[in-house]
Amino acid sequence: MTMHLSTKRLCLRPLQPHDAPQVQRILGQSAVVTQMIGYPHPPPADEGNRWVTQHLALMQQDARQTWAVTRCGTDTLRGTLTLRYEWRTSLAELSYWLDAALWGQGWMSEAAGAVLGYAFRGGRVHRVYARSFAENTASRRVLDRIGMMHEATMRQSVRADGRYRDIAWYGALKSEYLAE
Amino acid sequence: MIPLHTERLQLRLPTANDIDAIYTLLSDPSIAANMLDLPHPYQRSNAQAFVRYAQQATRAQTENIYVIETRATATVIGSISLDKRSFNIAEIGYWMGKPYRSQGYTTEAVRRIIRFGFAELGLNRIQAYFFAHNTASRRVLEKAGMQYEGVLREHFRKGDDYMSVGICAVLCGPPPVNDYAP
Repeated sequence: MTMHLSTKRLCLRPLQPHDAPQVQRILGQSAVVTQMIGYPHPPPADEGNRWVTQHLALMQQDARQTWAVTRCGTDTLRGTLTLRYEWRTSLAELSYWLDAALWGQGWMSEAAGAVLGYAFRGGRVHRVYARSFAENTASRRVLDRIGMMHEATMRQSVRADGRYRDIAWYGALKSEYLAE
Repeated sequence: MIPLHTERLQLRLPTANDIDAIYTLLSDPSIAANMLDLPHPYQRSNAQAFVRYAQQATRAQTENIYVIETRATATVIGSISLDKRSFNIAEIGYWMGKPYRSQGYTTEAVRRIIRFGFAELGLNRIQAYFFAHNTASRRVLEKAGMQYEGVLREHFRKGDDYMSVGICAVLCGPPPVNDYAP
């Protein structure tokens, strides 16, 4: 069961099947998809449906939790956040994307902070990690702001857009988070 | 698989004749302490399974697994492997028998594997994880030409413990200096 979360400006609700058209629209933004690690782009025509169906199925299997980011009082999906669980090691990978029209207003820092708090207060993982292209300063600022630690930069560890790319790894531990 | 040579070592495919030596070396608890998934206590059947796996994986070319033996006495002293991943990345794993540590053998073997990976396998990046508390392993990797990239805190699980792992890597470029070429 994915909980509703709220922040000062935003309401996070579980992803729904009717979000597919919005997902399709936002994943059509090259500013968004070119920053997604391991994601092919441009996405195919029915990507919205595929993405939503896949994430809903993984939520059913308790392998992931995906939230739609909305402005409170509206239902329109403007971004998503996902916790992908690795239960054997009791950790989760945090990933997210946001409609490029809304960048630079602190939305994702708010939303990611809420999801990180949920991950640790919910009590099911001891560590959350996240990966970003090293040159994606906007995303790294989000991870810095919500208190994740830059743990490593793995040089040329993926290949995207015809070149090898450095990946910055961030991590947060429940023990530290709850102590603060 | 073609054996690889260094000044003092030969790296070659494990055979059934190596089972006793591998079993003896891996029975030492100091090795299991620094490895993620080595069976402990180590049984002779584990050594048999290791040799079988090494032969299969190497034949299937999913992984190159070598025993390290001294050229002078043909004594098996450890093992090293190169496991190929996506994006022309491969990961090095190794262990060295307790009596043979602190003599530069591991560094020598790691250097040779790096050269092999770049020259023969066309790799772009070679990396190795180690338990963050294992500073000796980090020193070996840095001496062999790798660069420390950071530590993933409590990222792996071993039994009931969460383990922090350091990562070192080297990118394709000029071959390491001071290497022995036969």
